[in-house]
Amino acid sequence: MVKVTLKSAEGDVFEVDEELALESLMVKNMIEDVGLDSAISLPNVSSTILAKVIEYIKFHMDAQKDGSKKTSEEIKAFDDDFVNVGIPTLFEMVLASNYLNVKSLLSLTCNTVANMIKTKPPAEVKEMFTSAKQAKA
Amino acid sequence: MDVKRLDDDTMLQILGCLDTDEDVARAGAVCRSWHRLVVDGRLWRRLCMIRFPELEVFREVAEQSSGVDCTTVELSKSRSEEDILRREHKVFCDFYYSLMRTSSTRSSYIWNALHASSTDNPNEEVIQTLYPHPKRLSSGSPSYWSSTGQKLETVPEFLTYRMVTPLCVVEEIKLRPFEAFFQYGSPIYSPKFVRFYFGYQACRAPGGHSWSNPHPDGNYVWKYVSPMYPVEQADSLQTFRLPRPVVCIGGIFQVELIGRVQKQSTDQLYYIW
Repeated sequence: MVKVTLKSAEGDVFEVDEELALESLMVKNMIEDVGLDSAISLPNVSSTILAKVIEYIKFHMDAQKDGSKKTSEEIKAFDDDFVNVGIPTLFEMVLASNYLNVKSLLSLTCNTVANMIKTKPPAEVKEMFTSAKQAKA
Repeated sequence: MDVKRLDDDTMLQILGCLDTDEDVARAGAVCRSWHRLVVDGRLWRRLCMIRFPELEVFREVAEQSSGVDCTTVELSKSRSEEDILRREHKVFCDFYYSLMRTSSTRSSYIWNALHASSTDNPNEEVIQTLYPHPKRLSSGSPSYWSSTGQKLETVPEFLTYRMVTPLCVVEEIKLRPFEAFFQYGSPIYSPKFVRFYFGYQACRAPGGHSWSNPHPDGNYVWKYVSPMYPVEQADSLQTFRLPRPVVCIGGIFQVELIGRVQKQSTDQLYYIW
């Protein structure tokens, strides 16, 4: 199995199967352009988030394989648990899946944020987003 | 941990997941930059299309200028992308709410009857389907339409109506089979199934008079065709609820009556009344 080396913003190195790496259209394009010889640098993605993205792709690839015994309830439970994180992490995952171009994860994370906005009055939504920003300071 | 700010591109992906008018309206009220995203992301247009897929026919918003002169032409040419988006936003937003309103304000959209694919007698014209329906001869003459008789039970019939407006939202259609109480055994000549069509007339008569005087053959273009609904062979007002509220564009409504169940004992032919 061909391996691909991904390098996070902090410089940590993640070695993953090529099949898994190709799930990111951004990485796929990079591999097509520069080949597999050198590590693929992802300066916009932190190690924590990159590890999570890999975990997500791996779970779904396994779940889709023939002979996988995962039920749709189990997959949904995994997804629900996966996005059950604080707003800062959730936003980072939205940004990372957009940057890495992983469609299914982008749609999962965007829908999660959208569900947090739904039915809330504008002031509360504003509060939610500004306090998320201030938490950084 | 650092919280990264979501850029416009990702924020728009999130707002694009909102699928109710309340949520889109609220998002637009959060702050100026979100309002911009709602406008630039054409979210109202998207909402209109999700709710009423028939609206796909409206590709762009055109401006109807009154009293065209050179200045207005020049102005509209130089309109920026931003202006166009802002105008489109306003149009679709208004459009959405007016459509939602029409679906709840009016009880009937049928203006008059245009024609039937066949009519048995001059006193059984399709227009009579719109009049109230006295139960007994003593309370006035019966009002109904009747097809001609057919040997085969499969021959369909079509009743065509003009609607009060070329644009409206329809949720359900009501239809009442007629009980021929003056015949032996009070037979009911209902069809087996019905299907509904909404659309417009393809070519207008010269002089544009087709609105009041349509061509009997139709030449209609149907923008929506409903599923088939079974009809009960009963003298009752039956309600056929469309799978979702449908925008009817064009003002023509047609009922297709499919399958015949009742033979008339005197001539052994199948009719639909």
